[in-house]
Amino acid sequence: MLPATLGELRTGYRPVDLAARLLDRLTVAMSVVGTLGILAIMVLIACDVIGRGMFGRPIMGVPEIISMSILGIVFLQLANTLARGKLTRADALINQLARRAPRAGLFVDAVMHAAGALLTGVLVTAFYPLFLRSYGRNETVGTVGQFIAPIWPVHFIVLAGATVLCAVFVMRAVALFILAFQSAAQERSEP
Amino acid sequence: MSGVEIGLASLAAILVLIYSGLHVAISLALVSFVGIWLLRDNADQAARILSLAARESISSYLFGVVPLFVLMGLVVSRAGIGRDTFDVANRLFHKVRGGLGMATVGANAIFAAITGISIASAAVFTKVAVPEMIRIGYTARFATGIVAGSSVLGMLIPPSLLLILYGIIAEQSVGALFLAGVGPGVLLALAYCAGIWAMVRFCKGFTGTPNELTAEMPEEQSSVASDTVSKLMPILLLVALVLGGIYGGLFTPTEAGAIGALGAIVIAAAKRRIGARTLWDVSLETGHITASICFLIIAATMYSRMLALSGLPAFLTEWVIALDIGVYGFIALFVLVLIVLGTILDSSSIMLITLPLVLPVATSMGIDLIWFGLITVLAVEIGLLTPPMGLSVYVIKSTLDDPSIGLNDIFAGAAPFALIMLLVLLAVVAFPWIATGIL
Amino acid sequence: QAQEEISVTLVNGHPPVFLWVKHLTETYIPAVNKALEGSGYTIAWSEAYGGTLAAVGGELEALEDGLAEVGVVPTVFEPTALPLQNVSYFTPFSTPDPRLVLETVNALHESVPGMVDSWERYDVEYLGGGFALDNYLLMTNFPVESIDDLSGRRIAAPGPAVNWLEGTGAVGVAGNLTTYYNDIQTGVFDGVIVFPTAAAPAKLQEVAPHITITDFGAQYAGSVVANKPWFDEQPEAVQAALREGAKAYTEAYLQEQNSRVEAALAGMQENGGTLTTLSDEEKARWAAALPQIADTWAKAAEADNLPASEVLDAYIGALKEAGAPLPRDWSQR
Ligand code: NA
Ligand code: NA
Repeated sequence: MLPATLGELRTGYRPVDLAARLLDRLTVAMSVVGTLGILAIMVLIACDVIGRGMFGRPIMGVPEIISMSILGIVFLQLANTLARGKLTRADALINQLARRAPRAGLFVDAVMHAAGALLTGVLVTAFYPLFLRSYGRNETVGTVGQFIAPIWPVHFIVLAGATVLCAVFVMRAVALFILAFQSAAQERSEP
Repeated sequence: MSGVEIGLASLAAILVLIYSGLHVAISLALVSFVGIWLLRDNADQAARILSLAARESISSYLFGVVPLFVLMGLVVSRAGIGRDTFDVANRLFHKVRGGLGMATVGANAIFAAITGISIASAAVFTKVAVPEMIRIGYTARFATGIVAGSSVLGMLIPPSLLLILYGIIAEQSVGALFLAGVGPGVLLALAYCAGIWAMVRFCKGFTGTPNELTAEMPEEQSSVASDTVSKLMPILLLVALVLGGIYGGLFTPTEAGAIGALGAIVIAAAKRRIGARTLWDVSLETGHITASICFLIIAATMYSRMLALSGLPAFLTEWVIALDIGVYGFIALFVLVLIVLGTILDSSSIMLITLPLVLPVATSMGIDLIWFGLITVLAVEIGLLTPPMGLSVYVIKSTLDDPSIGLNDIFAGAAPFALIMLLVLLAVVAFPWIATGIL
Repeated sequence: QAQEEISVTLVNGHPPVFLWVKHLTETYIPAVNKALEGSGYTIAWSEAYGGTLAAVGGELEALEDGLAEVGVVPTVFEPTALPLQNVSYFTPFSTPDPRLVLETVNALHESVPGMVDSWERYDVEYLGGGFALDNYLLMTNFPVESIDDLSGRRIAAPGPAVNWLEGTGAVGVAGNLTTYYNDIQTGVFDGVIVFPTAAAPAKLQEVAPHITITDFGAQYAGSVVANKPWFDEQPEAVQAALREGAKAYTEAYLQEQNSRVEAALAGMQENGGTLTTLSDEEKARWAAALPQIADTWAKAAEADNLPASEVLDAYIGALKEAGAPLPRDWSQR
């Protein structure tokens, strides 16, 4: 089996392992905030339902708040989801490869994570100007007379979440490459 | 390369990337990026289109409640409410041939009324039902197959995450889809029971020779009654809360996720089945599942935009219409594609990849999109049971944590149930009223 | 004569079943092509509707970023980005006539520079056409003869129209057309504020058979626009043709809308709906019961440096001049 979580990827190089551990902590912190967001949504909808049904007083802006926050919640969780090895993938073939030829398995997995880093890197560079724009213009959602809220905090979370996700991909790619080369060296030294 | 060629090449590229183990969402997004780049000859625009798609695709009330349906399912499973339901169903069926298997199916059907995801059902009943079935003489293969098969009820009987997803993509009423899911769900449960009876009767080599009467029963009649009530109460309360609230006009099917999750937490806490620590762990897990599903949806939106830009959907639509295979020919073709994709992809990805392609065709043929939705979900769910990537089977394997029961055993055990699903699917195609009659 | 071909992507987030999308294909493109005949230019169109390039409410950003060159921006879904174009939603009980609303707002774009400026903030060029939604009405599962009947009733409405229920005793809830039927059926809502051409295909009369003509008014809802940097680079003949097309689009839209509204109202009555018209006194009572939402709107837009008061006065002035009933003069603040 390939190492699944960021914590399992010990390379033996202290700077690399330390960076991986710090990054892991960061993703945990973000995930905690996202999880609180889920519980908050639950309470908010329940209050809206009770307010509307029992007191004729729905909470203003619930649809806007929910649609904004789910985007934030997802981007807060993504990095930790990847770090825990829970981002959906069909790993049957690559695991088989890793059993038969561990070095090749590690190498292929490293390439996979490098591809993920590349793609999320592209997204981050595209999110950045969008965030600057919505912040600069103080773009808002909602309706005058009902509920108005700025949208840039959510766009900031999307940018930050994508950045950390990219960092986790890079971290895993680096660690896997190191492990692949280490096991290559091992194979050479013990024929 | 023409647009249509780029579109076709992208399909091939995605399959190759996914099979080689690249994360599904990354495969979709990466191919979309390269595809749009080729189509528009502009990498900046490709990145910009992807980033807008990322922000638009999940930013809606309907997606906002996805985590809540997940949370409700996980709380219920962690609080042991699934086990209680199984115990009670077992008392009901214990004198019937294959009764324990039927009890598993029945408990799953009731459990399905409060959970929106199959993963929860599979996990709960692996822990609860499999050891019991093996103890009284079912083969491990058959026992896990029953759990795998009946876990799909969780997504068919409302509430259902897949039906919500279909409602979003096809712009159909989620409430109507939920209602239409009841008929096929009940039919599938009954078909499973019939299948279990027949297999136990005629294929002892496959099922083993169960001795149902040894199933554990409380001694005294009075304590049986009070125990049944106390075990059934939480799930009945939750079902009453969720369904009563929806059909009593207190809240919408989308809002039901929040009320159900909150209700599950309150009931579990009242029964002292869940503490703050467990609740927090369950919430974190909810977060991971949500992120994983929503990232797939984001990537699939990117991919469907790339496809639209390539002109492939319009081309395919014209092609299929020109084929003149009729409604049933088209549905047969579509179901075949879903089952093939189901071998490797997960349910939501399949729907997100195929529906943008086929919905225009279905609409142009005048197909009832509610009926079509149930056909789609049933066909997609067959993929939960088929190798190499059968999510329900994987969940059972990882929950079971027993090296003596291999993945292949579970897949073999699930095979007859996949076949029964296919038969029910044919019935729904032949008799649309099974789904739409209730509307 | 040599032909030069220009590629244009045309965007709107709604699918082609909606009239304002249908006439992009049926009217706008042919009209622009016709206007270009003999100019030496042709356009290669690619049409991106129904979320294939941008979702509803994402069109403005897609146009600003140059992902599409031309599009119809549904201004009703951009209430905070384009407040001025939403003036009609904050002046309810204006006029039942979509043509009057469309022509008035179009004229405002010429007479009030701030109207065009508000588009240019998003690097977008207003092309002189658009669409309006038909006269909003009330559909309920209980009869309505007076606003007193609304007391405590839960009425769903699109975002900005929730304001039209403030002060009436009804509970206004922001809702969504796709779930109205189901939500009224189960009883989450007792009624909706909706326009006839949307209500009829959704069969809302089956669950909310009491159709009350309240004359909330037709509403300005979208504009034909182009990416400005791209538009400025185009030869004059192409610019003129794109504007010409917007006029033809507006006209064709209004004509078909008119016949569709009649068919929708007739069809809903044939299939179980009962149509009543709210008396003028009750309309006046309703309008008077509302808070001064036009003032709230104007203050918010002016805080964003947009000439909302000027737009409000000019809009109400033009409606008065055209003889609209106006049970409440929203410019009186
Ligand atoms: Na369910
Ligand atoms: Na499968």
